[in-house]
Amino acid sequence: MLIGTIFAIFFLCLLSQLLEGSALVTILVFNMLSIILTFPLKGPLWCKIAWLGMGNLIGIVWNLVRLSLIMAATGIKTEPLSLVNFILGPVTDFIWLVPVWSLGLSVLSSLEHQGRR
Amino acid sequence: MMLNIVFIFVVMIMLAYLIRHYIFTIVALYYHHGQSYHTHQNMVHQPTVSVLIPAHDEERVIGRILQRMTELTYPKDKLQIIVIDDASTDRTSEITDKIAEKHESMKVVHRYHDGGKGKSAALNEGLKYATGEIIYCFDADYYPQHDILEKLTAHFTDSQVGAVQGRVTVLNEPSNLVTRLVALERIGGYRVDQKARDDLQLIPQFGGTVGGFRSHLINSLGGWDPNMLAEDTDLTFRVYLSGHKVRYVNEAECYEEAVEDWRSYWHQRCRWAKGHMQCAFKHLWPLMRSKNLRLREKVDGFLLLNVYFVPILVGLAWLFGAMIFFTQSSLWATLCWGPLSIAVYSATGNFAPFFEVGIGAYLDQRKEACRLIPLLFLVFLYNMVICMKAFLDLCISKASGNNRQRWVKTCHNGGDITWEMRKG
Repeated sequence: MLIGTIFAIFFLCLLSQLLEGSALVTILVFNMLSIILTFPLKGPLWCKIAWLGMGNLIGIVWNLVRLSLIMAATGIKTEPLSLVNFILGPVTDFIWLVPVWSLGLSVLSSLEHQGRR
Repeated sequence: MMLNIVFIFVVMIMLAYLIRHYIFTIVALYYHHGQSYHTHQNMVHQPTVSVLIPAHDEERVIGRILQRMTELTYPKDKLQIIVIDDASTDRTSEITDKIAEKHESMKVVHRYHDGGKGKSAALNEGLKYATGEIIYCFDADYYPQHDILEKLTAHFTDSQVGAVQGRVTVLNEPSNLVTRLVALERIGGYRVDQKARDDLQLIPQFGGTVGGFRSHLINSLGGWDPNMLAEDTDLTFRVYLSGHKVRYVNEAECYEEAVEDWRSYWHQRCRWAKGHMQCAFKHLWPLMRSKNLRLREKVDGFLLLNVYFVPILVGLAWLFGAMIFFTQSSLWATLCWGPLSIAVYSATGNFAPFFEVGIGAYLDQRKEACRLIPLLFLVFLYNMVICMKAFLDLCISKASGNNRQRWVKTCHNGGDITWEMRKG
């Protein structure tokens, strides 16, 4: 967990230059969950660190795409679009967390299973 | 102002469920205290036991469980099997009679004229014939481990234990997507949720099957309540209110046949939701006032009783948030929106949230099952509709004074057990 925490802090320091607001919060949540829920599991350390990095990368890409779409919608300046963003925004902010985490878990489990064989 | 207060209140409740789920997940990861099922001085506790198996039109599966009952390792002189043939119209009667003829410890009770009134009534009928000190019940489509009774019974050495509950694993998981998702729910619900509640000495729930009671306790409580759709939840709280407790035994595994299509899923979950809500209305106030429960049990009991209202709360919170957006700008709304999102996203998945399910799947070494976890979000949306419908049905039946519940039987196919046994 200590190694995971060090890497997570490293990624967060790096990403705080690129992102802010809700995007950074989602990355923070992902890193915290990875440290608490993934790093204590059995499995190769390199896999955990790789998925932590991959998750952070996917988070950046996801948020950049999402923010681009919001900026495009804001340019149109319509109330319904703002409402949709307000209502669905938090869901779309977080929606990438679980798929990335669960895929990482699946890979970790496979490698751990192979290692035991 | 009122809208803000209601919105904040709903968000606080969601956060309570969020914290509860994460606590359970962390306990599953870090708490490794094993559950011993041997008594002090390593003696094994083996009182007389009666097993009740209610069956209504179960010709496809009844033979399998009865055969399994004859293979149990519990001493045959201390074991009584009672099959309640509840007004079956297929070959259930014929099959049960044929098997019972060959086994002295097996008895069949036929309810031709007053049967068909649901599982609770059937179990109460079986209870009249039970002579064991411990009463167990298994559904007809289940397939228990051969030593399940030893593992469950050992916990009755604690005089405070009034009931025990074993683990349910899905037998027909590879059938289709529905069964795979149900299997994931079961992993989260039993391997993580129930186990954590037992480890933390909260309220593990009796699940209606793969569980048992002290005979004198179940009789003093008046048996199963036929007016409750979720008679298992009702009994759980009645056990706790009487000053006893329920123990969850993770090592005592039993295999079940999960529903295989979304329509059956709808009916089953609708019944669970409605029954659970009935229990919430019945037990919430007595739970809060009870002197037999500790504070942590009351808090967990409160959250457990209201768990089927969560999807409705989610919908309401989202609606309130949108209303606040349109009618007024509010710092509270903005501040609460974030935690609500985290709470909702983390607390979904039919009440066994994603991370509980994931950790449970990992601990069970189910690497491929992990990939289906994101689909549970869609299952949650489906459950949101189910819970809303169940709540409306309940309100309508209460308002009209019509408490008669319609029992929609879950169909079973009698799947292949070899897949599950091979997985071991």
